[in-house]
Amino acid sequence: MLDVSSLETLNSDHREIARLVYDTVLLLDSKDFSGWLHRCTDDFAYAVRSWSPELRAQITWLEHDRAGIENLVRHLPRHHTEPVLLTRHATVYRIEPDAERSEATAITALTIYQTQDDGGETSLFAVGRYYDRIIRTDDGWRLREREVELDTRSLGIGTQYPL
Amino acid sequence: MPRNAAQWDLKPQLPSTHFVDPLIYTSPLILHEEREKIFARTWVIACHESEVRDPHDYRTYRHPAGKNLFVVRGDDGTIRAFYNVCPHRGNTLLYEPAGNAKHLLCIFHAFAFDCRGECVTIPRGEEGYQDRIGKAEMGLRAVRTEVGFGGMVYVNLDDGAPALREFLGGALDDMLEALDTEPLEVFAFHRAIVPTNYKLWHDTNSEFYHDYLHYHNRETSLKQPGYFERRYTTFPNGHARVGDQVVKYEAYEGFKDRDLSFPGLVRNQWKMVDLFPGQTYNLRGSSLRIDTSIPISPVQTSIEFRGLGLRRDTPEERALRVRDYNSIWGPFGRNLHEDLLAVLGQGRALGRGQRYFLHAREEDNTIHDEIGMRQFYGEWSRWMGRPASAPLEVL
Repeated sequence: MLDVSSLETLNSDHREIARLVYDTVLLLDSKDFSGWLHRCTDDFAYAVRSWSPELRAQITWLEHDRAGIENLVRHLPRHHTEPVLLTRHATVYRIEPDAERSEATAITALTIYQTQDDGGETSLFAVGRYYDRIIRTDDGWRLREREVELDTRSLGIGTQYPL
Repeated sequence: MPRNAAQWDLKPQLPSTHFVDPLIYTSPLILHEEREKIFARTWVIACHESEVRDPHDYRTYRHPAGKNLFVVRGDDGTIRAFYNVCPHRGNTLLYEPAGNAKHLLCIFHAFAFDCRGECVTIPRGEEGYQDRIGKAEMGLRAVRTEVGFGGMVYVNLDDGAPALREFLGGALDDMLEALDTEPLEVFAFHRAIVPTNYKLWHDTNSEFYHDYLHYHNRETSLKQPGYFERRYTTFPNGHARVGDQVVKYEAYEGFKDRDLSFPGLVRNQWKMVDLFPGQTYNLRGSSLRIDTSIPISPVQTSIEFRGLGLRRDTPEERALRVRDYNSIWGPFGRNLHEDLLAVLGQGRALGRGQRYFLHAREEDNTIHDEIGMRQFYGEWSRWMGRPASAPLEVL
């Protein structure tokens, strides 16, 4: 049974982890990739996957280590991308720290809207979930792994941005 | 010099093979005719054999002629295709895009069919139909099916059409060693619904002048030796092949040469074939991409993308092929988004100003020559009985 002090620590961890997840959403929405990666560890791993009923298998759409993600976002200005705004709506469903409270997993429901620069029309881009692995560092909780599991598989012309 | 209204509407002073009227991209009548005259009579790719690997595996397919089909592997190992509709009251037979079913059961009134298309159950048949209608009269509509050229499952709604090999006319022969030496397997599938005409997607696959669109291709191909020596070869029935190039992938910062390849393929080699009326084989070193276009309306197209590797790949090899495929293709790839953005832009502008589309580049059939599109529209005009440059005229 947890004593009061432990319970307070646990609640504090939950708040800080939820805040970390929400911060990553805000930073991605504002295309502050440097700020986003600052919330990630040096051995950060990122993937976008989806279950395909057509192939009856899981498909990987994007999989990078930190260097790969840095390369991806660094090259964005050299590529043509659709002039749209991606807005993520996230709700952290579950946070589960390990026994030592040095590491935690988090499951977050994710909805991404797409707003056209020309005219401002908004449509649904994708729904899915973040499956995050988060570790405690000297600088606080940081994201070590993020797996974006998409329900949506028909993504129009797609995107070059991390979700 | 800017043009006034009359000048803008003038037909280009070019051979009629070198431009098209955008009416072919917007007219519902044209699409109706394309479905009847082209898609209902030509071979199109429904899926890959690895998607129906085991007996009773099935895979549904929305055929570009407007029919719903499914492909199923029989208990005899043969792959067949049928309309995905119950002949009783027209309900959809298979709702899931893929699965395995020993009997294909219509959920509505429990009619059942086997994997060879025969009706095997009519509930209370004799009581209701007596001897007027029986199982023999209630078989499924079979669709001609041939499997080959990389294990792709081709279907043709026309029972009298020439065989697949004759239709392809040798267009894939240069790729056969890579395609048919050993079995392939699909590792990626996704569908892009894009507000554009299906021919505009095929156009993009049929010309390389648009490499200026892609930072990746400019660095790894266009600036590299051999690029401008690539030549187009045209084939009967509207197909075209692009000459090979060895791509320098590491010229894109952070990218690597492709460690894996396909049988008979030089490392990092790129081969590409466009098949009339809307399919492309795109083999880039370690992964093969197959595109199939399905018109939904004149200005809306469903494009199915498949990524393939070798069936015998180890998990580590497969992961490499997936990585390479995703780097430029897939919904988050560097190139595919740009290609789709371009045809999206064309789609948004259709009927909003453009008078003629030019296919007029002549460079001795080399990489920026637009012979690939001219080959396509020559064939299109023949099947349609209308010149693409003046589609209201009848040939």
